[in-house]
Amino acid sequence: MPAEYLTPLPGMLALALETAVNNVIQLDRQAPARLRKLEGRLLKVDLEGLGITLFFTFRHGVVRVRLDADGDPDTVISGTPLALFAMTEPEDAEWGLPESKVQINGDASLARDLERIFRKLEPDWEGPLIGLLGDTAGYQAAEGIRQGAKAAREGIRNAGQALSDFLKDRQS
Amino acid sequence: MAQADNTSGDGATTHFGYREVKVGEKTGLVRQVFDSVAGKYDLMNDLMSLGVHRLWKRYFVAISGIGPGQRVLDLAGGTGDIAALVSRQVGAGGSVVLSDINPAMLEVGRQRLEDRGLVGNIEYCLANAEKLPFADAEFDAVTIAFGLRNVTDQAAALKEMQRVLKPGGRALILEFSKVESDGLKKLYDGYSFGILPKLGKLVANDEDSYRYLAESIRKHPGQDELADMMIDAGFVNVTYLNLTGGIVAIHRGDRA
Repeated sequence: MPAEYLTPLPGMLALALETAVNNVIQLDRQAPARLRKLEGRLLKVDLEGLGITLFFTFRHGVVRVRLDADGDPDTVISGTPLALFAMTEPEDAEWGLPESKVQINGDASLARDLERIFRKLEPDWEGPLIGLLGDTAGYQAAEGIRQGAKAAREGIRNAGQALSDFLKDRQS
Repeated sequence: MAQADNTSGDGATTHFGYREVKVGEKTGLVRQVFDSVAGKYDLMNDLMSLGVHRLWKRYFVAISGIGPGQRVLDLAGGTGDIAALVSRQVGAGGSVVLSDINPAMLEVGRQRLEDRGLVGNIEYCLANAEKLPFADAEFDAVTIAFGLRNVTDQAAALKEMQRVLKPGGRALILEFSKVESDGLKKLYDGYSFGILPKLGKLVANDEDSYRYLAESIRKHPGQDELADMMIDAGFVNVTYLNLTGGIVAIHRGDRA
């Protein structure tokens, strides 16, 4: 039975995530082909702390993110948003280990395949931005996105570490 | 997927917007629509999409992978928006064939591009997407923007696109698609069926043609359905990208 939410925010989150993920995937020429290996699989993600469950399906090299799905999931991943985001960092990915703060139930290979696909992503920001904005502005915008993404990852990792340290201090 | 809803012999029918018409009649009916709108097509596109169609088209060409020296076929190219963008990407060493089944639209396109000084690497061809007058494996890429939904036999057109591509060549389709978010869908339906035909009446004095345009969008295959049709036509690596919440989608597939 699909979860019932009191606000449209979970639906908006699902749509925003789907849009963002697929835009990045389509900028990497190899990524849709890699995603094809996941066709027919169903991934359920429980976002702890937010009370939102998302379902990911894969078809035609496209990721669909929904609030409900038919059938039983092949894999269930549970974690806080910060812990789940940390999985995209190669040096921080400690899949399935007790310290990772991410729980995986079911077929772990689906989670690993996804993690590998996202780790290998090399979106070509420059091409489309240059086409839209011209050579100089397009290159600068692409560089800005690269630096911004790096800064965001750093910021989120630091925030996650600070939160973890704070919670440890409170417990001791 | 067959475009005809009733596929048996001479009685075969298909959709023309929300009307059912004989298969043999659709091409002529679509031609009448575009004969009527050709003169104000660009103005109406700007009004209908508040100029967003220009961004969609620029993004479509920007992520196409089309590069210098390539030979590209633009189908249902009408007034030349895509051909203009592609001609810059292929450069002097490449070429674009701007084709359309409608002579009025093609003439508007030729005039526009020549007025902008875009000559030299653009050719013009009156062509039916279902039966292309080109050799096998002639093009590096085939594009079609907001034209596939007006083709009577879309499966035949997809097969022709595949045929004229070189091995490794790419087909790119920009078209209205299915909006899945309920909130956006309500807004979109209200705009398409309430405001758009009235705009058509006010600006182009042609409410019926713009009602057809809105209806034809609703009858067009959705994202996964069109992807499956491309696979049936022989394309590989088929995928798509939604723009603006699925109001439009870019489908692409390669010739093996």
